[in-house]
Amino acid sequence: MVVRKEPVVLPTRIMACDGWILNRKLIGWLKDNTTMEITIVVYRYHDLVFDAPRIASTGQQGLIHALAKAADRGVQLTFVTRDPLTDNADPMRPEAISGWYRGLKRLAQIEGTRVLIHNNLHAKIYLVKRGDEKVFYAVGSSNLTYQGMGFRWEECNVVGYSPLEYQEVEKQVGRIISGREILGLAEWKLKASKNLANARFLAYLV
Amino acid sequence: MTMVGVSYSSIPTFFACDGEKLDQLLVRWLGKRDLEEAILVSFGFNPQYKSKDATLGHRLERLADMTEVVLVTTLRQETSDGPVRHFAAFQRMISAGVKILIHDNLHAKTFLFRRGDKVCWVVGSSNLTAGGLSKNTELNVAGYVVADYQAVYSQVKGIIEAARPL
Repeated sequence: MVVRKEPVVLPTRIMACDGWILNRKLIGWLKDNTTMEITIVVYRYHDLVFDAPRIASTGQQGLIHALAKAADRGVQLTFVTRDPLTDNADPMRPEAISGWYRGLKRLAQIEGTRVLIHNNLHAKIYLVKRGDEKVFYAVGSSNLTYQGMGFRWEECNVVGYSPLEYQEVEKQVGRIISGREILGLAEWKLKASKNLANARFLAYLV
Repeated sequence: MTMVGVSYSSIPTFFACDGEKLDQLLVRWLGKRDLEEAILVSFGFNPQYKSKDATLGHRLERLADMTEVVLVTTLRQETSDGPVRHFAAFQRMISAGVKILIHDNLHAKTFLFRRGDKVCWVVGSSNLTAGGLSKNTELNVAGYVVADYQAVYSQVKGIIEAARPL
C-alpha cells in the first residue's frame, strides 16, 4: 500500500519582496528605537542613499551614517562583506574601494560594532532582533547597494519573523562568520598590504 | 539528502541551505519524472555545470520532454555565464522545449517546483553556476509550505511578465 503524505497546509509566515520593499523594511528597522541587534551579511555594499539611485555624497545622508547612528544608540551591529581584492568575477574599481573602506572604517571605530571581511562571500542576509524579543530575517538576492535596494535590478528576497526560522538563518550566519575565510577590518588591511598584487589599491585604503 | 530545518510536521517546512545543498535539492527535484512545473529564475546560468551524472542544461532538456520548464535569465555582461557564452547549449534547451525568457534587469535567484499538491520554493543568493552551487559562500532559504510557495510565486510572476522570449 502506498502511504500518501498529506500536503503541508500552513498559513504563510514569509513575505517575498523586491529590493524596494526590503529597502523600506531596512529603514524601518534602522530607525526603530526597540531594535537591539542588526547583522548584515552582504556581498556588496555602497554608502547608498535609501531614497534615490545614488551613493551618498556627504557622510550625513547615507547608509553608513544610518548604521552609525543606530550603533551610537546602542544597537549591536555586525557587518560582514566581501573582500573586493579577491573578487575576480566582478572587480571593484580602485576609486570605489576608497569609499568602501572609508565606510567600513567609520563603522569599525564604533565601540561594540564588528566589521568582518570575507574572501568568498556571495550571500545577502539581514537579521534584526528587537528588545521586545521580536525578530526579523531577510534572505535573497538584494545587495546593500542602490541597484539591489530597488533602483535598478529585479530582485527576490524573503522576509520572515518566525523565531524558529530566524534561528535557522542565524545558525547559517554563525557558520559563515566562524569560517576561516574571515578577518576583522584591521587584520584584513594588514594582510592586503603585504600582498604585492594589491599595490595599486593601497593608496585608497585610508 | 538530510534536510535539517524548521519542521511543523514530518518534513521541514523551512530550511536554509548553501550552494552545495541547493545543488543536491535541484538534482532531486529536476529528476522527478512527474513534476508538473519547474520555474528557474537565475541571473547567471551555466548549462554546462555538471553535478552527479548530468549537466544542468541536460537535466532541463530531459525534464522539458514531460513538463513545463521555464528559465528566466539575463543577457547582461556582468555574468560570464549565460546565453551569450553558452549559445549552443541554450539552443539545445530551446529545441528540447525549455521556455527561456530574458529579463534585462534581472538579479534574482529563485526556484519553484510543483508536483500535484507538493511544492518546493527556494529564494537566495545562488546563481545556477559553479560559483553559486559549489564555490562561493551562499545562503538560500527554502520550504515546502503551499502558502509560502504562493507568496514567492506572486513575486516571480511579475518577473516573468516583464521578461521576453530569447
